[in-house]
Amino acid sequence: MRILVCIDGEPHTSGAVERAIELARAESAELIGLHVIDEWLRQFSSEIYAQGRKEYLEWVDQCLEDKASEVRKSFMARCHASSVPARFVLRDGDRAAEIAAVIDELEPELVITGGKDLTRWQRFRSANLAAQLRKACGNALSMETVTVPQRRPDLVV
Amino acid sequence: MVKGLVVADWKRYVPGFLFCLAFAFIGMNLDRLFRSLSREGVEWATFVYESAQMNYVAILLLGGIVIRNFLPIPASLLPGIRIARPVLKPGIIILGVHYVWADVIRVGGLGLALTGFFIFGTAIIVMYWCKRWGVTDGLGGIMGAGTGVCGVSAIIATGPVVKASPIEMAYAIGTILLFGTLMLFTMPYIGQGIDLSESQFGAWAAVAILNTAQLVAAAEWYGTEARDTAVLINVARIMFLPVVVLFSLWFYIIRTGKEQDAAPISKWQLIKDKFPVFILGFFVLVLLHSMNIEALGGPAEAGSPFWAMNAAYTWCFAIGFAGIGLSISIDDMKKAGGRAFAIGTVASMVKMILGLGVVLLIGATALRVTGG
Repeated sequence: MRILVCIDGEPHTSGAVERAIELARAESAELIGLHVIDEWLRQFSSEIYAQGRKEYLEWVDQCLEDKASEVRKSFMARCHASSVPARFVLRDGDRAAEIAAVIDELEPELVITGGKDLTRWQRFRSANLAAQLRKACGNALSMETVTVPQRRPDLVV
Repeated sequence: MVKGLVVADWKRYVPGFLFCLAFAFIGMNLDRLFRSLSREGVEWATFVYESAQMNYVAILLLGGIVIRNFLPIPASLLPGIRIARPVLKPGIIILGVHYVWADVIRVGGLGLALTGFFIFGTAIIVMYWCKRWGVTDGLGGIMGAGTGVCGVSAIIATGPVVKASPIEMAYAIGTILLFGTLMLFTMPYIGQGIDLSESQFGAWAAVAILNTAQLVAAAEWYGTEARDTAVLINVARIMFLPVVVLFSLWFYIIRTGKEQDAAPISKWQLIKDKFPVFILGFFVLVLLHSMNIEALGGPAEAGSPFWAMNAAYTWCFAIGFAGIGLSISIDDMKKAGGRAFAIGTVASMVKMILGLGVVLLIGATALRVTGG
């Protein structure tokens, strides 16, 4: 069995990693951690009066790469500590599109994403990754969303 | 040599740019159609063109928003749409043929004083209060510059200097885009509602609207006099960009002694890097127009070089507005949030109200561009 867990480095995906490790251990599954470097900020380098475009892009890339490296280190350390065989995949681009591409490529049996406990207004503002993935991959995809209740900081690692 | 001048992956920009060209062509022709039908006395066309103010600016902006947010735009078009926005810049340079030095000194001088007051007033107050509220230096720096000078462009110039994190930049950019768009679609109607003259509206837009693209669009939408005043004051405004970046560097890095921990920063190099060189082109055209060279003619002299340039500016603006409209994404604005949203709300409201008061006090005549 192959489990894919999507990690963006924010506290709520920590719960998703926890759940993925738990399942991988129970099912003796291979665990794959996926982090997508979000390209959203890069597009603003073509702003009309943007000065210092190169410096801006270098700074954004450096920050995003540092974060990706931190996410990878933390994920591998947690898997290692739980004795779960794991590997880490890093992609760059639109989040939903890249995750869909990895699902297509690696064909995992289960995909786990993190989620927050949102109010109605926050739900409107949310990108709703789970819904985007269902749309991109179809309903056949077995996907679990781990929601971290906002008043349960004990779940946030 | 020619190969070296071409971007390696230029092909990915072609479909989106062509799409913007086609959209601009349709927008311009719809404008022409509505105008001619309105002149012939067709009732619905008069309502659309005169009452609802559906000129090419509104058609391209509103149409662009609808296409971007409610129709399935292929991802292959997005890179080309992004590069269509800066086409506005050559349009602004060409607009130099609308001014003479007397305008630059009178309106530009007044604009320099106005923008100097509003830029530094906003930047200093925002940065000071952010420090007091415990907002991080990164967010305080980019919000001070972004709400003070020219929105997203200022965030891009200041972000690496004050070491703003990606999440802070996302919040700040989302906030600026949200308020810039809200102001773009409300201020022209407020201006009309209170019977604000075109030149006063131009000055108000140049002082209050947080983002450059939306500022130029709102002024062009309001009328040609509004556009001429807004563009001149906006040129004065962006000249302050390197100064505000330098101020942020001093406020957050040098003053707090953090410079010793970081790599040395050359202040002169910083000023050079952040200076908007293209405005020199604008001033060259103002100079040429002021010299009254017969061979160059004027923007109203049919067949002359300046007349041809004046015709080209409209197309640059149309392509730029097509790019702006097609770039306004509700998903991007949804990123507005956190403390950046609170800072943006206060700064934009204060600038809007104070700016209106100041332009009403100054009056229409002092802000009017005569063009010689």
